Parts: sequence; structure tokens; C-alpha cells
Amino acid sequence: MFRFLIKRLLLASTTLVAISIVTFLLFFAVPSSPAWVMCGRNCSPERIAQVEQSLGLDQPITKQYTDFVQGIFVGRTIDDAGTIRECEAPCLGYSFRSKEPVTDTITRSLPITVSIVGGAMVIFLTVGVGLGMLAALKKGTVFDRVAIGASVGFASTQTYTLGGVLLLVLVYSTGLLPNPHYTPITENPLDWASGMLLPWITLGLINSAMYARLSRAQMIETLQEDFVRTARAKGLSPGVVNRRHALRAAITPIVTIAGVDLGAYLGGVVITESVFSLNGIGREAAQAVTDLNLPIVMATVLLAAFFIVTMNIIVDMLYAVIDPRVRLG
Amino acid sequence: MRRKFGALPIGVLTVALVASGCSETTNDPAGGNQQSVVQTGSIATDPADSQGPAKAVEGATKGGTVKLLHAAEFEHLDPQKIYVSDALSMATQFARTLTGYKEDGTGALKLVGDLATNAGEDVNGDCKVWKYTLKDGLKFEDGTPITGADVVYGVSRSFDPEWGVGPTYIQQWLTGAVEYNTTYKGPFQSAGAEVPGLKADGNVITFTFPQPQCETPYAVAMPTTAPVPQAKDTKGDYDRKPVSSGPYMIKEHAYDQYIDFVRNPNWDANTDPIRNAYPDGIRVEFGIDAEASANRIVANAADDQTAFMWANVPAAVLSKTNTPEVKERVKAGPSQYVEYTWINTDRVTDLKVRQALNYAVDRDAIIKVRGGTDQFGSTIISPTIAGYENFNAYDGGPTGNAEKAKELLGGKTIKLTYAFPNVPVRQQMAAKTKEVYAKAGIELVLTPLDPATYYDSVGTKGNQYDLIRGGWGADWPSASTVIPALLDGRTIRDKGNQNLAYFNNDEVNKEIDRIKGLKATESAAEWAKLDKKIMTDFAPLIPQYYIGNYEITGSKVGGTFLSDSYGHLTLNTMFVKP
Amino acid sequence: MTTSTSPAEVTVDPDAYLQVRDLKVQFPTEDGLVRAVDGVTFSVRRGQTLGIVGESGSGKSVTSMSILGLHNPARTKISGEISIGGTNIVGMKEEQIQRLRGKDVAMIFQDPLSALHPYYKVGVQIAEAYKVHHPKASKKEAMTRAVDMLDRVGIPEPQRRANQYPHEFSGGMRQRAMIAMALVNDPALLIADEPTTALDVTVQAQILELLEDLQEEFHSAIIMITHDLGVISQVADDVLVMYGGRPVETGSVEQIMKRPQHPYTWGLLASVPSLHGDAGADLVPIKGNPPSLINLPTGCAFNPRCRYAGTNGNLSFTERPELRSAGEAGHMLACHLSAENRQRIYAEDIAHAGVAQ
Repeated sequence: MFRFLIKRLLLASTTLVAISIVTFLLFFAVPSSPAWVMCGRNCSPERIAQVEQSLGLDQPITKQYTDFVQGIFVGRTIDDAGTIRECEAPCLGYSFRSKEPVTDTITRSLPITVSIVGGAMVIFLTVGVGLGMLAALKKGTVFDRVAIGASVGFASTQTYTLGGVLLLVLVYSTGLLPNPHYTPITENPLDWASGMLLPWITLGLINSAMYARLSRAQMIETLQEDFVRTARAKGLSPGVVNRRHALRAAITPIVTIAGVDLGAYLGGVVITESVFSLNGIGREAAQAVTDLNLPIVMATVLLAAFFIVTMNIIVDMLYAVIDPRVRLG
Repeated sequence: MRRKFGALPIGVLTVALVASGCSETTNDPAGGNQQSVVQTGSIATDPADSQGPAKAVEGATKGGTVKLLHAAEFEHLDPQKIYVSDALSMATQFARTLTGYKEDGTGALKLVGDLATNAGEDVNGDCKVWKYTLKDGLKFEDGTPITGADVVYGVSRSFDPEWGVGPTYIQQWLTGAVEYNTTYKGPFQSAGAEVPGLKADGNVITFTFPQPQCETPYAVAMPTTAPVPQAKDTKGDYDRKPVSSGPYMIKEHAYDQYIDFVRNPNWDANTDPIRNAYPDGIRVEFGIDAEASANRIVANAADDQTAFMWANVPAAVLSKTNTPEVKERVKAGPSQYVEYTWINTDRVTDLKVRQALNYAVDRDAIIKVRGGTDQFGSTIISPTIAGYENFNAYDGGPTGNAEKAKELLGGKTIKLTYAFPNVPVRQQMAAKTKEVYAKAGIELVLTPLDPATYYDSVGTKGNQYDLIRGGWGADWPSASTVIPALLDGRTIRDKGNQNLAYFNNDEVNKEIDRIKGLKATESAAEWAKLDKKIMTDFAPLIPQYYIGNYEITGSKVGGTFLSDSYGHLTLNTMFVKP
Repeated sequence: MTTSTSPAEVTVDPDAYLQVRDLKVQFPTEDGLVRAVDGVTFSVRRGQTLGIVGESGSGKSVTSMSILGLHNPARTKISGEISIGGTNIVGMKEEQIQRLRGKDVAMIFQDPLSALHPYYKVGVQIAEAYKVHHPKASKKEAMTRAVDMLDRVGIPEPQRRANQYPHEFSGGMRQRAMIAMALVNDPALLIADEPTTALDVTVQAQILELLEDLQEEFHSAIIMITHDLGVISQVADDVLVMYGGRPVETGSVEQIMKRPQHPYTWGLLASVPSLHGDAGADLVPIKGNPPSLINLPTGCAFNPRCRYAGTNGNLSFTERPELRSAGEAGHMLACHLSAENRQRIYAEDIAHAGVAQ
């Protein structure tokens, strides 16, 4: 276990470094400069040069990269057109646009994305997996057909279509639900939940559809397994057979996929955030790409990569916990 | 030219979403709460106009919080960097300037002294030396008094070469040069040096310009002249939390999420002739695109009854604004932006052809392509401009007169190229334009151009386009920022032209010089006359429509109207209905 | 020996622990009705072993599943009678059958690796089987019993092994564990479905020996299901040969192995390597494939694969042969071949090939 962790952490760090370098290179490969974006159309070359200097973009790429890395580990000083900023470690730089530490942008927008994803996940892991399992147990019945039909329908729906319709029906037309908004859970848990309800439902339903089909297929397969037959032959009740024997085995691949999905979603759910006007990390990232806001681009890319890499390690460890046949090494 | 914030790219995704939500509408929502388009305002001559407090709004009550639903964070809040219409509108509440616009919603716009006791004193009567005296009792949010030095310091910041994103009129006028910061580079790079031509003596500020600048009262209404306390200048960080001189100050600013403005206890209503400051607070929420904002405000849920927006209700939501209850909450009117089709006079030299093009244009059809919120317009200057006079030199009715055009062409059929940026709405408009002109025997060859380099292409003298899509908005309600900028032939260069007709006429040039020398109070009517003369005698362009503003408020927002100065719903007189 | 046209009544021992009468199991599917078992009658006494032989699809496994009541009643039509210790379980409620399963009737499956749950420790799985029928037993008692059983089936260090997972066991050990699990409640009837197929030959023999030993000890009835007549010859007292869901030949192990009468049984015997003098050299697998249980061939279901079909007029293709006495007491047969022909063919074509010494 320990060796496994060390090995995976080393691999993860290498991945993150590689991603950061590639992001850096890609950013400078774009035939445009953030200075152009910030300067507007009628910009003189002199002003461009000044803006680039104030952003530190006149330095060689290698220097900029080492500065960036240095900032993360020991902090650094940033000189923005005479405004001296002490950026303490872990310093991801200052946003070109908001002129605030990138960490501030992240700490403000990440909780929004985490809230959306967390709630949606609870929904699709309960509703989606639950429905799929039930459908598998009632395979061939009307319930099964309706559940599978609905999940095919939802799975082929786009977030912005479903979200738009739900907004229109539940918020704009009837006012049944409040406008999606973000209130920190620490401030008012009830308001937090009510503001997140629509994104949860939307992202939850669409993913539920996917998870329902996956769980159903998985469960049907497991129910045909010999060990399930053995369990029944022992005289166990169907409930015990389904829960203790079938579910336990069927859930393993779902945990894996859910973990990887979680990692990917935490990096930002751009479309959901946009549809519901929530400025989470995904929207910050999308905006930063349009603005060529390098520090935010770097931070959001690295954060997304970090989540994916971390969740992969966690999933592998979980797998070993669930399935005794899996050995970490 | 001032940019309109809606025109800025907000993000690839947002744009895609809006595009997918768009549907053509045949409704004609124009009408709503149509504001008067007759601009009767001018510069105040009576000092009493500049004295506070502002005239009470009938039925208004104090208290409550109004909520602005906004697509994206303001580009800037630092007064010396602000140049986009949404931030300009917001800045009126925390960054007072030497002069300001007093409006009551009837179209009677008056430029009065804001920080200053009057709209400006032309010391020698030659428009070269302007004197402003600050009122007594002006304070920043921290209670320190506002002095002439604070205004001078504010202006000095606008010289900084690394900024240069705000308006440049004052800097260029003070130095008499287009490249205004070659010597004096602002308080950071030229610390200790004096701002050229600008002096403060206690509460008296004097501008001395090398050339006559008769529109100084307008120019100092821009936030360039907002006072900044040097001791509290956080330079780059000032952009997030400027020190307030107006009725509201920033309590909390969560970038990209929201700003909470609360009352500035040190603002004295008795010094302010413009702002009523009825609400206790203003909350700005970011990240809500125009479609979501419009949907929410139309729905008018309890939470959104005090909400309003500074973007046009998008096409997808327009049809929902037709019910009487919603229509009452819509404020529609022309903006300072006018859409043109330029006629390249280097190529289309026959006046009769240019006139025929003006006769045949079907403005009604083109407005419908855009959703219907724009307004029929046949003049170069917009109705929000002082002195505006409505006329149509080639009156073919709302849908144009193809017969009259054919008559002028004398039976000839002609073929012209038409250049436009290659984006969906412009493609639709170009197709409609082609269809319209075909009826008059004029064949258009559509030439879509890369939107990123569009102005570089059409702004190059000697280009091969006969007709060119364009538009313009005035920086302040005077035609001096429109006609000289667009139609003074002496400014034509090889590249980067704004005179896309490449129109150069001695008679017109001389008239421009003459009117520029007039006092601002006298020039307004003269510009309007020149507008009419250019259209009648030369027809170098085809005004298409006045880009309309079509904004909406929740049911509990009262007292507001579309400001003629910045085009958006004004906060000055806004109040929360009980 | 009789050649009467009326089918002889298959005798069911009225004292037998398990009595199956005219069992029919059908699965309605979209393609048609699957007649998996189409009229089987047999019985097993305690201490006796019945071998059921046949290829896959012959209905042998379906029969065993029916005895455990494991078929989904919603999707299966069962008729006939299955009497276990005097109780007919056909049509019984699921809850009642559950009480029998694992307690009175236990089963050993073919592949112990897939039949044991990969996520639970072996001891836990055995203890669970004990606990479900001994609800008053504590966890510890159940575990002690599990370790005991592991010891009884010959697993060394049972205490340690009980705490291991199935994948940590060897194939033979796993099957021993499986047997321990099946015997944990002292069942009166043990069904072993191909218990040695997945194992190598030496281990096979050990497992079969173990089963025999345990049968002696527990005095249980055993049904041994297999396609391998070699296994049958080792452990069975009686044999039931099935084809296409029906019995084609039944009798004592001696009758079936030494004096087989049905061409299908001959085929099975010919394909058993362990029974050949010269292993591998002249194995004769039965030609063709088992028939579709939805669309059985008319007449004798075996006719498309039978070398001797048609030797008795057209009967093989028109009339389904019923079980009749094959001559000796208890030896029954469903074949249109005349007794003379059978004996002649067996003597000329089959016996000399070295089958069934």
C-alpha cells in the first residue's frame, strides 16, 4: 500500500508538471497576446509592449515558468506596473483581469462547483444507481421498461436543453423553485440547498440516466453470476442475496466510474454553470481562455488535472478495499 | 467612440448559448414604454441648476436594495480606466465628476456642475481656459474632504502609459497632442512633475488648453475627472475597490460574483443636484447572461422584483414582454449608437446612385431581422444628441421606395459589392439588404469579411468595397464626437480610417471648423443642420436605424428611465416601490 | 424382456428421500417454449448416489435446479412432483423452499472459483450458510462450525484458511471448501453439478473419494450430475441418461456401464477417455450438436445423430420412443431399435471398440 502510494504520487506529480509545461507552451503558441485582449482594438505597439511588461510576459518563457513554479513553493513578488504584490506560497500568480491572487479566484469559485457536483452526485448515485438496480431486479417488467425508456430519453438530452426547460417551467413560468444562486453552506444551509436545487436536478438527472443504464447492465450481469446462484442455493432470502452478494459485486465498477467522473466534474461543469448563471470554476476557466488570462488558465487546468489524478489514485485504492483480489503495487 | 459593453466578447460559451437560444421574431415590441426622442437638453447656464439637493421624484421613497443582473464583471471600476457604458453608468454612483447630466426622463438633459459649482467657466471666452470651483462639503467615503488636488491627481493618473484604457480627450487637449504621454507620464512614472495645463488652487481647478476646446463641460463629465485621494491610491488594485465620492460605496466586491454597494455616509445630498440616492443599497450580480436576466425579470419572482438589467432584452425573450403587465416595466428608446451603410465615394462617384441607394433602403425589413427593438433612423446623429432634428432627405416611407430609386438610376441596373463582418446576424441582414435592393434593380455582391480584421480591411483607403457596414456612438450628447470624427475628409489616412465613405468635401470641412469654434450651447443646432446638408447634398452613407435600448425592471423598481447620457436605466432617480 | 407397445411404468421407490415424478420444466421465451425437461421420473434413497448424465442442454442441470426450487416462478412453468423427504415442493411458496435450500438439499457447483463470492472470506461464506438455517447461533459459533467443516473436508490449517479469500485457494481446495459449505447443515440430499469438471484428474479423484467418504459419514443421498461417464462409474449406484430434456436410458451403474442399450449412451461411453484402454487414440465423440429444446426433431429426438435411425422402418422419424424395460429389472430404455438389433450392433460395433470394460 505504502509503496503503491509513493509510486502513484510520483507519477501524479510528473503528470502535473508535464501538463503545466504543455499548458504554458500552448498558451504562448497562440498567435495572440493577453495584452491585445486587454488593450482593445486601437492599441499602439508601445502600449502592447507596456502591458506585456506589466504582466511579465516580456520575460523568456523559461523564466516565466520557473517564476511560476517558484511561486507555488516559496512565493514570489510580482511587479504590476509599479504595483508591488507580495504573493505568498502557494502562489499561482495574480489574475490578469481581476488583479487578485489566483488563489482568491479559486477559493471563491471552487465551492460553487463543489456544491453543484456534490449534490448532483448524491442524486445520480442514489436515483440513478437505485433505479438501475431495481430495473435489473425487475427485468422485463413495466417498471424496467419505463425506467430504461426514461433513462435513454434523459441521456440523450443536453444539459442546456433540460436546464433551460426546467428553468422555464419551474422558475420563470411557475416560480416553484427559486433562481439558482449560491449561498455558502456555512452561511445558510437551507438557502444553499434551495439555490443549488435546479443544477442538482439537471446534472443529477442526466447523469442518473447514464448511471441507471450502467447499473442495470452491471446488476443483470452479476445476477447471472455463479456466486449469486450459490447464495440462493444456501437458502438466503432474495433481499440478502441481492444486497449482500449481488449489489456488492455490481457496485464496484460503478464506484470506479463515479470516482473518475467526480474528478472530471470538480475541474468545472462549464455548461451547467453557464445555464444556471453560477460562476464556478468551469466558467472562470472558460472566461480565462477567452481573455488569455494565463495565471487563471494555468491554475484551472492544473486544478482539473489534480482532481482527475487524485481521484484516480483514490479509486484504485478503493478498488483494492472493495475487491480483495486486487493488489496494489 | 465609446464601446458598448454588450458588444464585447463575454466568452465563447455564452455566445454559443445565446445563439442557440435565438429565434427570429416577427413581433414588433417597439412601443412599450417608448421614451421621448426629442432631445431638448443643453448646458446649464443658471448656477441654481447645479445646486443640490436633486429634485425629488414623485412618489419615491427611501430604502430597499435594487439589484442589477449583469452578464459579466465590469471591465474596470477605477474611474480613470472606465470607458464602457455599463461601468460608466455604475460609476455615476461612486465617482462624481466635475460636471454631470441632470435628467428627468422627459428627454430634457442638462449638463450641470456636479462636484463643481457650475458646468464650467470659459475664463477668456475663447474656450482655452476653463475654471471649475468645487462645492463646499464634498467628502470621500472616509470623511476626508475632496479638494482640487484630488481632482488633479485623478486626471494625472489617466496619463499613465500602462493604463490608457479610458477616454483620452482631456489628456490630448491639455497637451495639444494625440500622443499625449510622451513627456508627462502620470503620477507613478513622472512622480513630482506637474500635469501640463492643469492646476489646482484650493478648491479651484484650472484647465489651460493650447487650442480652443468649447466642449470642455462635456469632456469633464467623463470619469477622467473623478477625484482620487493620493494617499489611498492602491494603483492596480484600485480597480477593484475605488474610494467613493458619490452616494454609494463598495462594501464587498467578490470578483465575478457580486458587488454590494451601500450608502456612503459622507455623501451630502445638499451638494448633489443629480442623484436622489433613494435605495439603501445596490447589489450587482455577475454571470447572469442577458437571456437569463430578462427571463428572471419578466417572471418577476419576489426576489427579482427589485431587479433591473443594463442589456437589451434578447430576441428569445422579446415575445414575453408583450403582455400589458410586462410592457409597463420595459423601457425602450434610442441609444447614441447609429447603424450605417457607408457608400465608398471613391468608387460610387455618381450622386444619383447614392441617392437611389438611400431611397430604396427598406429599414423596416432590416429592423425586423434584428428582432425589432431598433428604431427607424435616417440621420447621421442619434436622437440622444443635443440639437437632434428628425428628417429623411430621401423619404421613401418605412419600407423604402424602389420606384423612386429606379427613376434616379434612369433604367440602368447596377452591381455593387457589400462588405460586412461574417457573423450570423450580419449575414441575415446582408441577405435582407440584397433582397431589398434587388427590387430597385441594384444587385449586391455580398462580401463577408473576417470579423477580427474587419475594420482593418474596410478602413484601408483604396479598398474594393462599394458598400460597407458600420456604426458609431457619441461619447457625449454632442455631434462634435460624431460628424468631425466620421466625415472630416482631411483625416483620411492610408489605414485605420473611420470615414468609411472616404468622403472629402471642402465645403463640409470648412463648416466643421466653423461649428467647432462655436460655444457648445450654440453648436448643437448647427451640427444638426450640417447633418441634413451632408445627407441632402452628398449622401455619402445610408443611416439604417438608431440602435434601440430595450431594458426592463422588476415591478418594484420605480423612478428610472433610459439615460440619454449612457444609454442605460439610470440609478440617479431609481427607487424601490414599497 | 418385453416388446410391448405400451410404455412400462417407471417405478419410484416410495421410501426414497427424493422422489421426482413426471417433472416438466418449460421456459416461455420470445422464440418459443423451451421444454428444458419434458417428463422425468426418478428417485434417490439416502446413502445412494444417482448419476444423471447427458450433454449440455440435455436437461440435467435444469432438473437439479428444480429440485432446489431455484427457477424464477414468473418465467418458468413447472409440473409434476418433486417430493423431498415427503414434501412436494412444486408450487410451494418461495419462503418455504428457502427453508429447505441449503439445509435439507444442498448443492455443489461446477466451478468453485466463480461459485464462491470473490469479496468474502471462505469462512464467512460457510458460516453464512450455517447461520441462515441456525438463526440462534452466534457469529462465533457459526465460524467455529465453518472451521470444523473445512477440517472435515481435509483442508489443512482450517483456522487460517477460513480467513482467506477464494482466490487464495487452489482449485481442489476451493471445491473442498464448496463441499464444506454444502455439508455445513448436514443435508439429506446433496446435488453435485459437475463437481470435478474444472479440476485436474488427480484432484478429481480426491474430490470424488471425499464425497464418497462423506456420504458414508452423513448418510446422504447424492445426485451426481455430469457428462462424464467415468465419474459415474466411480461413484454412482444408479444412472439416468438424459437427451433433449427426456430420459433415454436408466438403470443401475452396472447395467448402464456394462450393458448399455441406447445408441446415445454408446456415444457417451465412446467419448470417455478414462474408460479407454488406449487413451486418446480412438476417442469417438458423438457427431452433431444437441437439439434445440424449442424445436425438437420429430420422432426420436436423437434421430439426426443416430447411425441406426431408420433401421426399424420409419418409426425413428415419426414416433417418439417411450421408456420401456430393456430386459433386466430396473433397466429402462427409450429406443426404436429392436432388442436383437441392439445386441447385435453392440456386440459388433461397440464392444470391440473397447468401450466399457
